[in-house]
Amino acid sequence: MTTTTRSMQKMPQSSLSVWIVSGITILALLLGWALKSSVESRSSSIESAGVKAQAPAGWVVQNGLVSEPMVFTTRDPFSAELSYTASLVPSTADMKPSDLAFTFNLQRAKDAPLYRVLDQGEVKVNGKDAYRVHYAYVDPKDQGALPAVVEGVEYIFSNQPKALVVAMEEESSQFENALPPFMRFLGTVVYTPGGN
Amino acid sequence: MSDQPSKPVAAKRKSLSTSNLVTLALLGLFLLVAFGVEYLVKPTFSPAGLLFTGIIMALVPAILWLWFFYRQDRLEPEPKGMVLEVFILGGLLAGAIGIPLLNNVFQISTWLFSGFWVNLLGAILVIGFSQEFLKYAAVRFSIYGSDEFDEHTDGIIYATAAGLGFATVLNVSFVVSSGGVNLGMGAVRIVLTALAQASFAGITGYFLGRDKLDHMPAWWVPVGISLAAVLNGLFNYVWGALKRSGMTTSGGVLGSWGGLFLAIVISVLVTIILSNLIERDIQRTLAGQEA
Repeated sequence: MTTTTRSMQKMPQSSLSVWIVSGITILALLLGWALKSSVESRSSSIESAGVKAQAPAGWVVQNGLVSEPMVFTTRDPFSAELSYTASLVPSTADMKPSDLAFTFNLQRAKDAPLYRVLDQGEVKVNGKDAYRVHYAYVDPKDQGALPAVVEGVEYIFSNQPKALVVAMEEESSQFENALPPFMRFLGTVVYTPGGN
Repeated sequence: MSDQPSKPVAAKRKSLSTSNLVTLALLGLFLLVAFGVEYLVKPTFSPAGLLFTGIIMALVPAILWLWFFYRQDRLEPEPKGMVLEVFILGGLLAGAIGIPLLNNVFQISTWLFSGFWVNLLGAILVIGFSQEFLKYAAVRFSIYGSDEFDEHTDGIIYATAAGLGFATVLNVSFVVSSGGVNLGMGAVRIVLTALAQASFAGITGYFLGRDKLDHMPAWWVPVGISLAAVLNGLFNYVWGALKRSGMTTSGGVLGSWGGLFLAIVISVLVTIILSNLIERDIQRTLAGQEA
């Protein structure tokens, strides 16, 4: 069709080129995966009111009793909603985690627009009994911005005199992605009653 | 005799310059309309309206850029149907593999922005290589073996079409996930993303064109893709500062406006280089014809 037209019979070398391109891409993605893993394994220690945890590195931490009964909260600086919180709630021997969950649900239903409990029940976390509540509500956001659906999950561990509650909230569209890192965080949380 | 072919070529070049100016003016108009709608109408969207708006907002710049690159191949334009097929293939690969790979498998939003080197390396290794490979695949495993792919320039034209299809799906996804807010800056992002995805793919296309027609060694195309991936990663790195800061305020490593400026510089420079490569190929072809 033009003077640049040449024979197209060069497939063996071209096939080798395809293999090299594929190999380089796979290698790049494997290196990317290693980079991701190394970042995710980095963490910083938080310790407050007897609760210790390893939060993701680079997250903003507020500890000390930020607002009763919260012990600390740590927030992803690049996300509008993603945060982990740990709270210590007064508890008695006859109080079950499900009773605390009922109270929390009632309070959130008053405070959060369109609050819904998506599921709840008893679970085991690292061999410890806990009560898990998965919920959602609408964050109205500022004027001019669309409201966002926020999903949350909280784990209630019964202790005396205080029950430990560890929770995560994230925008609904990112919730599934945020769950595995939160479960790793949850695995690092240790509560020593009477600790500083 | 030798002067005869020069006149139509000069006329075509003038027509091309006019066409390029019209395309750029239409892109400017698109941005003005988006900013105007944002500040004057302040729209809110139903889910269906948002999807419709996303598709329109993503398609308009993609079509304009497609026209821009398509018109560069003024000697022997490629069949529009084939260019459209590669455009659609690029979009399908973005929707089926590109976006799920980054968002669901690599979950880049949870770790990529945790430091300079992580951001830069992650952007090159994960975003750059995955996106450039998919755009390469859209050309290499479709039109590359066809008889229509018979000029160096064809590689650039088809690859930019694949890149624009890829960008269209990325941009629809962006508008829908952002809820349609910040239409004005969103439009800037869409125009720039489309140009960047097209121009980086164009680099791969250039290497593919030379590979097919000049019998280049086996390392040639891998070098081209690596170059495109590095530029794509750099673009995403500087662009990331803008995305993280919500496109409205300063912030991030380079600051949002610094990031925007550098992203524009990278995309426009690559586009100019591609246009020069196309022009050089056309001149070479014309010289061959005259000889």
